[in-house]
Amino acid sequence: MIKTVVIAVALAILGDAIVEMLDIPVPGAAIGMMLLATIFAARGGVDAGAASLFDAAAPHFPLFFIPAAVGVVASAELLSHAWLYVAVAIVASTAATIAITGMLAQRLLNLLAKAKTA
Amino acid sequence: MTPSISLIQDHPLFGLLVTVLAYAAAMRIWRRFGMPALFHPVLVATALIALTLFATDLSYEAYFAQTSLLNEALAVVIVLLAVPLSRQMHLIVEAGHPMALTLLAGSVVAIMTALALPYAFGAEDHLIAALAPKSATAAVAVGIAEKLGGPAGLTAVVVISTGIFGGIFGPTILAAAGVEDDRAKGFALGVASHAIGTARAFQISDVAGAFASLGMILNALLTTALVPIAIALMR
Repeated sequence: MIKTVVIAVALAILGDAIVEMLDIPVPGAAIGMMLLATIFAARGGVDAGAASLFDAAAPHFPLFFIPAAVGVVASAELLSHAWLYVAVAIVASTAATIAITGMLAQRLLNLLAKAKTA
Repeated sequence: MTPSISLIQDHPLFGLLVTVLAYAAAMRIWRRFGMPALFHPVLVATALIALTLFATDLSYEAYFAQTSLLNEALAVVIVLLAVPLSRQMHLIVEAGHPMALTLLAGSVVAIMTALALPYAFGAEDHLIAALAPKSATAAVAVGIAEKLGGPAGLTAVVVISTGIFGGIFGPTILAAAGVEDDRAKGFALGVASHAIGTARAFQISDVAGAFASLGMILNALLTTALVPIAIALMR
């Protein structure tokens, strides 16, 4: 477990350093994730310590976003006069994106499954 | 304010204590009422914390500084998303082509539907720039918006609101749309509402979470490429 913490923290730092050096528009943690996935692939599977650490944290993933959510309440005045249609745009667009993406993904996955069994 | 109270609320860990307590209470309330979308722990905890900040007169900036530990730990959790991605790699490889097509369609829909309303109402350019990358993860979206004249603070508010809305109501919307496949559910949540949608997907299943992580990463990259094109087409 401690070994995993060390590796994950080191990869988060390394990811930030790589993003800084290459000046690419990607969060450093995402680069760290890809590096860790590459390590798992090279070693032929997920390390048991990493799996148990992740599985302990995963159900509480939303906890990490609460300070940002409080920030939305605290900076609501940034939206000023436009708040109503910004809110409508967010709600309508996000709902449409979720519905269309989900339905299309399911339809295409079903087609793939049918093509395989046929 | 008495000095003894300020000793507690100015402590660098006070914000963390309040956040974890509010989250624990919100989780209990959520489970108690059968996990309805409207009582999602992020909403309830946010309301409890906003009330606490109001009651203690603690500024958001001070609170945010006191919760920096959570923000730093989030980077480590994101690195650990390699675990579900690697575990579900066989499913991801198998679903490669459907997911690539869905990604392209989802990313275009996310940008175009975000811009339709502001465009129709003749919104100012800085609002359009803040809305366009709303489905990309916050750090990426702020980078895209700033290049097009969108202010960082406003973009962050838009992006996080998008994530919260998708994370809370996404599963209900997917059920209404008849989406039952966990791969499709997760991918939709990740593409439309980034890390917060991904966090919600892990409450569905490991498969949904893995596909959400994939959708989140790929959509952040594609949004970077597509937003400048969409804005150029509109002007």
